[in-house]
This record gives sequence, structure tokens and C-alpha cells, in this order.
Amino acid sequence: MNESLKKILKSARFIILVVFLVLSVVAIHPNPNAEGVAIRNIARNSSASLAGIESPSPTSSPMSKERILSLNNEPITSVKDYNDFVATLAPNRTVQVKTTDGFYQLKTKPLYNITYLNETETVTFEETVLVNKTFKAKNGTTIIKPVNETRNVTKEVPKRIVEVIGTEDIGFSVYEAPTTNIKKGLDLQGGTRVLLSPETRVSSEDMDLVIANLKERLNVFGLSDVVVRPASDLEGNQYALVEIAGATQEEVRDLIAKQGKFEAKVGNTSVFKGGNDVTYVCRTADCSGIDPRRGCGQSSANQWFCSFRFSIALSPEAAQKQADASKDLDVIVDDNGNEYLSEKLYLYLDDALVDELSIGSDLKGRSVTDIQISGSGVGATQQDAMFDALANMKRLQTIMITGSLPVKMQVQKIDAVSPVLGDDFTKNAFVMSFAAILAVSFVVFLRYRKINVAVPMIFTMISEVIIVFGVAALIQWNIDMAAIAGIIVAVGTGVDDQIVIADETLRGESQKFGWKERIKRAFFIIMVAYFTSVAAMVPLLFAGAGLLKGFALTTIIGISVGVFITRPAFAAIVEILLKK
Amino acid sequence: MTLFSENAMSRRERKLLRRKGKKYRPDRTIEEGAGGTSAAGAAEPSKEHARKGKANKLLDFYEHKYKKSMWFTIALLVISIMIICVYTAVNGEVIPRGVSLKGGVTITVPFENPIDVKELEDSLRVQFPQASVNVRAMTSAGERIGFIVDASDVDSEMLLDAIRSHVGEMNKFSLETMGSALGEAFFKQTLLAILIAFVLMSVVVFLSFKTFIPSFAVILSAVSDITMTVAVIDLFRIRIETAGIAALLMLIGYSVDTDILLTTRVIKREEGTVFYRVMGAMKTGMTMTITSIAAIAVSLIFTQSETLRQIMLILLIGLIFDLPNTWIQNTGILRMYLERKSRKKAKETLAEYKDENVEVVEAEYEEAQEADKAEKEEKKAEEKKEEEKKEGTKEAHHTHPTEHRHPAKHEEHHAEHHAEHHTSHDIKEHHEK
Repeated sequence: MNESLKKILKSARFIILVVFLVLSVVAIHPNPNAEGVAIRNIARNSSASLAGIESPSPTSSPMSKERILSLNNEPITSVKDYNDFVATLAPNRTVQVKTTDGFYQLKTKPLYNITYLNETETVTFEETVLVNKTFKAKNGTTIIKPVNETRNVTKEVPKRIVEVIGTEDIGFSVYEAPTTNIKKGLDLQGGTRVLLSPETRVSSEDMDLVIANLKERLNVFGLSDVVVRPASDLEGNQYALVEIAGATQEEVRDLIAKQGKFEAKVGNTSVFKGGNDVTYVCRTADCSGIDPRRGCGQSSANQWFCSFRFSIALSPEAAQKQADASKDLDVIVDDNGNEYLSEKLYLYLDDALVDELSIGSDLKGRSVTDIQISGSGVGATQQDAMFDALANMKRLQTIMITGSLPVKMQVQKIDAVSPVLGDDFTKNAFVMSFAAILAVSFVVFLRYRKINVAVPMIFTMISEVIIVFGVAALIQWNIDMAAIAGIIVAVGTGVDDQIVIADETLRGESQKFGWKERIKRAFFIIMVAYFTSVAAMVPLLFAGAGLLKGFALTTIIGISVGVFITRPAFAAIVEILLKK
Repeated sequence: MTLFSENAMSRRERKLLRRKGKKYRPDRTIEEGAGGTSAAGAAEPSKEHARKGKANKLLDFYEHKYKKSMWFTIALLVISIMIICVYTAVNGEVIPRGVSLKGGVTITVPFENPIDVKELEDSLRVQFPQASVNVRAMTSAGERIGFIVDASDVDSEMLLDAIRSHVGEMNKFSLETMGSALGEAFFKQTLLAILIAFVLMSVVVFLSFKTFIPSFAVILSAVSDITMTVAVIDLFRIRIETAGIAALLMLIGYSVDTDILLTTRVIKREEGTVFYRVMGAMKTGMTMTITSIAAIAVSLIFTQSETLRQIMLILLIGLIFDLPNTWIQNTGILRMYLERKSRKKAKETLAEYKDENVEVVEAEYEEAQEADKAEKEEKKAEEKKEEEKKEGTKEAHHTHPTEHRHPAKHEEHHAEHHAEHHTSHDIKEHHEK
């Protein structure tokens, strides 16, 4: 036995298997004791982002993601720890964050609640206006040039009460620290996958633009753990596949489904569009948020609405267009004595009217670069309406910053898995794979009743699983449910092949064939079976927008690992153990 | 070597005892076939013998009436095709399609607190009268673990809100929506994928065996597996999702494994009789299929994911059908093919011999027939002895069943007999060692 063991250890094919096993373990990088909680995302303008912590790159490997180790010297070992700690935070305190990458100090921000009263008050605020000014040049000629001028404007607005109701979220989005480098697919970690297709066929350059724009939109919106990639199917249809870890579909559906064609019109004249015409979009609290002038209101018993507003800056060309469009309009006076122009400024998003704004008579014929965009949100309670309004605002801002897509996209498919369910699935997949391996081992033992056939078989089976995961970790392949099915199938085929080898060698024993002959015979069967399986999987690589690609690829990788790495080693082991 | 043989014998014995009372025919046949060559039955002589007689009958049937047994798979295939045709005619589609192949919404919710599924369905139907809503329970290992809502013509968010208002806030759920145009396209494409897979697989098989009938038998076996599986799906109206189509594709690769093993062993090897090689291949092939079925059945019991459940269920059905399709249908076609081939060859050689030296050949022929006769008589005598003693002995089974009932195959027989005796002697020797 000892001699056999020595022989096995010296066998080239066994050494190759061991090398691959070691490489796989290095690639998987298992560390069950990984401390802390991993950072998925940092919210923009949050305390964390202001402290200099950055969102991790979505392409970085799981084990290299930055992890929070302690907060104010309190060790954080789970998401629950993190949530418990954050719940105790008071506003305007400093928090010391220790992560795997370093130390940070962040300051918590207060969370305000604004209540609008039925009274009004007079406020004075600054407004920047583009005015044409006459200059006298040195040579005596006069030049007319548009200049930004700041002036104080006094207006009557509803009175409001601002109160601090808590601490603003410090901006981390965290998840349990990963213990291996294996990337979990959407259904195992939770998240949303959206499959979009362009309404009409577009060139591949336009498709690239769509992909880049969608990515940018999601990043601007505040989601960084995002994969956007083009996909196609057997008929050559184009798709864009968006996968967002840890996000819910409500958050992103409207954002990515919109073409984002933003247009402002005065009457029927287009004044400016989103994208290039907009040079700046305000997203800070002082010039964006719930509209202080319009506030919230109740339209019926359980229907509230809130208005939002944010200011944007237009390019001089767009400002000039606006001036041209408004200079011939009449001035009308409403019941309260306010003077307005006869046409309103209409805001359209994807050809649907979002809002209409009355234009003050003082803006007639003037090119103004600063414009306020407004809109509204609804809800059953005032709180809901406010959230809805702010969410709509965030979306609109994102779209105005990133511009429109070159083509209208249609949502074809949405899959969403809640993160808690994803964790359940992961645990379940583990239990199931373990049970399946046990079942196979049991049958193999029953059939062979020989330690020196059954044990190598089970050893080979387990190494195969490890190497497949190793390859997946190395090429950053996402392991999802379908991929697990692929691995089970590959391992099943692997065991089948080992049974062929074992039986051919055992049979060969009584037939007095040479060892080479026996193994050669076994491998003919194995290779034919291998190529038929690969042939069956190849069409799936291209069909159905690549949604089954994971399954097909994992199966192909799995059976290839089996045929080229583990099975030759198994043959070598069996040969040595039985050849006595 | 000694160790192996001894182990093998006792293993067979134990297996034999363990298998008692199981009805599964082909499976039992191999065990008995294997046992027939050895000295089984020492432990419980009388019972063992009675059983063996029955099993031998089965084995005998499998060996000699293989053409008759093929009617079984032909009938299965015809019934399957009929089921599929009827289903298609009634429902206008070949297979019951789930949301991912048809369009609609599926929301899967594992219970946090168990709820009445029927009640939820009624409430959702009242809320969305224009939509078609179905609610079913989800089980794992016999336990109800959640519910699944299938719906079409309804907005996913509204449906989600409606479920939330019924069961409360949900931490765990998964949602899948599919546009109907895309679902339709997916379905067409997956069918196309199956077709392409078949063509590619057939090319590989033809290139590997380079003979028409054996290659055709392998492909026919894969076609039968899939047809029968689809028939069961139609019969029980299992809604197929994209994962299910993937499983059907996987079945192509899986099911031909045993057929390839069988064809290689039977066509490309020379040891023993054809039947002996079939039995050898069956032993290996059965182990392969049974390990696969074990792994799949266990996964099916433990999984909580609908995707995996569907994949495993389809593989399980397919692998069960693969047993008759490989060991009755494919084996039958191969044996018919080989029989015709050897008969042709025997005739040719006989004709040649006759031309050259008629007497010698005839003398040889007679001699061989006599030997056959003598052997038969010997066997009869043994059987008689057995009946008298009513217990199984070593000698009673040491002759392996051969194909001596086909005189036309005489030439082949002689050689095969030789090999046969050789092997059983071999085994016996080892055993004695």
C-alpha cells in the first residue's frame, strides 16, 4: 500500500491534478474568518463619501473589497452589528471608521423634517440672471455682451418649520463579508436584473452609447455595484442586460427604462433639451428638494402630493433660444396681480408632459441661464408623497445629467431576488450539493465495495468541484443557481466517466488486456460522451440573450476539467492501485 | 486479482439478497445474469434457487426474445407521441409554458408566516379581474415552504403591493417578469437550440462510430428520451421555464452517455458473445444511471429553488426513460444489426468453404452440432439434478447462457463459447484462489 501511495504521488497525472487543486484553492481564497462587513456602495454626498471613502469597483474580486472592521473602536462582525451601531448615532458627531484599507473620520449629519404652514413669509434670495450689457470698448465702439448678474429677489413663500428629527444615514451600504472569491450570481446574493431591448435596430456604436449611458445613470443615481453589458440572441436581436446587486426593482426600473429625452418648450418651440444644453444640475439641499413655494398638499382623503424643484444652468445658446421664444409673447395678469407671459414653459420627458411653469413677465425676451425645474410626487400620506417627489426628482436629475439614450429602450424582463432570500438559497445550495455528493458516494461504495476504487472516485469528484469553482473565481464568473445545476451535471458526468474507467480496468483484468489498452478503451467512450455533451451545450451559449450562458458555460468548463484534468489522474490512481 | 474476484463474488451474493422483492426488470436481470455465472445461493439455497429460476426466465426472455421486448419501447414511444399530439391539438402549444417562455409575472415568496394559498388567490383575483392569476404552494422535502403567484396582464409592482397588503411586509421574495414578445422569442430560440444540439450531437456520434445503424440507434434513443419526457410533462402539465429547456438539452448529453458506452462495448469489442458484452455494458451503464438518479433525486428533495427543482425533475424523468430506451431499444437494434451482419458473413464463409471442400465443412458442422447437443444434455441433466436436490449448487450455474439456439450463427458460436468458458473458468479459478 505504501509503495502504491508513493507511486501515485510520483505519477505525473496525479501531480497535475494536485497543482490544479492548489491553484484553485489560491484562486478561491477561502477565508471563513473574514472579519467585518463588506462595503457595497457609498451614497453620494453622504458623511462616508465626504470622509473620502470610495465605492468599490464592481469588477474587483470579492475578497479584495474594502471591509469595515470597527466603528468607534467597536468591532463590527455582522450587518446586524453595523445596523445596531448606526441606529445609536446622534447628529454632528464624529465616527472613527477602521476598514481593511485604513482609518477614516466622518461626521454625522442631522436629518431635517420640514413642515409647511398655512402662513406665508417674505424671503429674499439671490438669483443669477443673464443680462445683455452694453460695454464701451477702448476704440469707442459699443459692444453688447451677455453677462451674469446677481440680484436679490424678494418673494412671499409659505412659512416652514425646520426641525432635526435624527441623523442622516452615514451612507454605507454593506453586506456580510464574503468568505471566498467566488462571485455569487444575482439569485444567490439578491438584486435586480433587467433586460432591455431597443425599440428599433441600432448600430453597434449606438448600442455602446446606450450601455455607457445606462452605466453612468446608475452610478449618478448612487448604485455602483452594477454590471451593464450588451447581449444578443440566435436571431441577432440586440439587448442590454443590467444587473444590480442588492438593489430592488422599484428603485431602478423607471430610471433605466426611460429614454431620458428631456425637452422644454415654450408653446410649440423647443427651447432646450437634456444633456448638452444643460451645463449644471444642482443636487445640494440649498437649491434642490421639496419646493418651498409649493410644498405639499392634500387632494383627497388619502391622496397627498408634494412638489419638488431643483435649479439647472443652461448653456448660453439654450438661454438665447429661450429669450427668442419669449420675446414676442404677451403679458397677462392673473387674479392676484402677478404678471405672466401668455405661454407657459412646458417640460417633457420622453414626450410626456411632466410639468408646466408660468414664466414671469420680467423674463420676457431675456436670456436666462438659471432655470428651476419642478415636478411632483404623490402618496397616501404626506410622508409617502414627499418620498415619491424626492425619488422622482433624483431620477429627473440623473437623466438631465446623463442625457438621453440614442434610442428608446423597452423593458423585456425583470428578475429580482431579495438579498435575504439570496442568502437562503446559498445555504440551501451548499446543503444540497453536500447531500448529492453523499448520495453518489453511497452508491459508488455499494457498487464497488472496494476502498481502492471508491475512495479515489470520491476524491476525484470533490477535486472536480473545487477546480470548477477555482476556474469560476479566476475568470470572475458569477455562480448562480443555473451554474450550480451545471456543476452538479458536470460532476454527475464525471462520476459516470470514472465508473467507465473503473469497469474497463476491472474487466480488462479478466480479459488480460494491457493497461494502456484498457485505459484507451475507456477514454474512447469518455471522449465521445464528452463531445456529445459539449455539442448539446453550445447552442445555449448563444440563445436567449445569454441568460442561459452561465449554465452552459459552467457545464462545459466542468466537463472539460473532468476530461482533461481529473479523469486522467483517476485513471492513473486506479491503475496503480489495482496493478499488483 | 484474487482479492478482487473474491470480493466480487461475495458482493454479488449480498446484492442478490438485497435486491429481493424488487420489481425492476432490467436491473434485476443484470444482477441475476452476473450471479448466474458464479456460485451464488449458498446462503439460502432453496429460496435462492426458486428466485433464480424466475430470474433466469427473465434473463432468458431478455436474451432470446429481445425483439419482442422491443415492442415495449415502441409502444411507449407511440403513446408518448400521441399524448404530445393530443396536448398540442387541445392547447395549441407543444409544451405547457411558464412565465419565462410566455410572458407574465411570477412572484415566489417563502413563508415567514404560513398563509392560506387559496384565500390569497381569491383575493388577488378579485383585485385584478382582468388578469389571470394563479397561486400555488411551494414544497421542499414534503413541507410547505412558500407560495408562488403566476399572473399575466398585470403590472408586477401592483401585484407585489397587493400581495404585501395580504401577507404583510416581505423580506424574502423573488420576482420575475417577462415581456410576452420576448417570452415568445425565447421559446422559439430554445426550440432552435434543441434542434441545433441534436444536429451537433448526431454529427459527433456519426463521426465516432462511422456506421449508420449503430449511430442511428444512439440518436433514436436520445430522441425517444426527450419525446417521452415531454409526454410526461404534457400529461402532468408541468409548466416549463427556460431552465426546463436547458434541462432537456442536458438530457441529450446525459442520455447518450450510456448509449455510447453500449455501442462501443458491443460494436468495437470482441470478447465474449454479443450478449455477454451487452451484460457487461449494462452493469457499467446501470451504475452510471443509478448514481446520477441518486444525485438528482437527493437534489430534488433538498432544493428550495424552483429553477433547480425543474432541472432536476426533468433529468430524473428523462433518466428513468433512458433505462428502457438504452437497454431494450438501443440494445435490440444493435443485436439485430449484428445478427444480420454475422448471418451474412457466416453464409459467405460457408459458401466459400463448400466450394473448396464440402466434406470437411460438413463434418465440422456435424461435429459442432453434436458438441452442442451434448452440452444441452449435460445441462438438462444438471437441471434435473438440481430439481431433485432443490438447491442451487456451484455447477448448476457455471455455464453462462449462450446463443446456441441459433444454428445459423454456428461459426461465431464456437468461438464465443470458447471465450465464454474461458472467462467463467477464469473467474472460478480466481474464486478458488
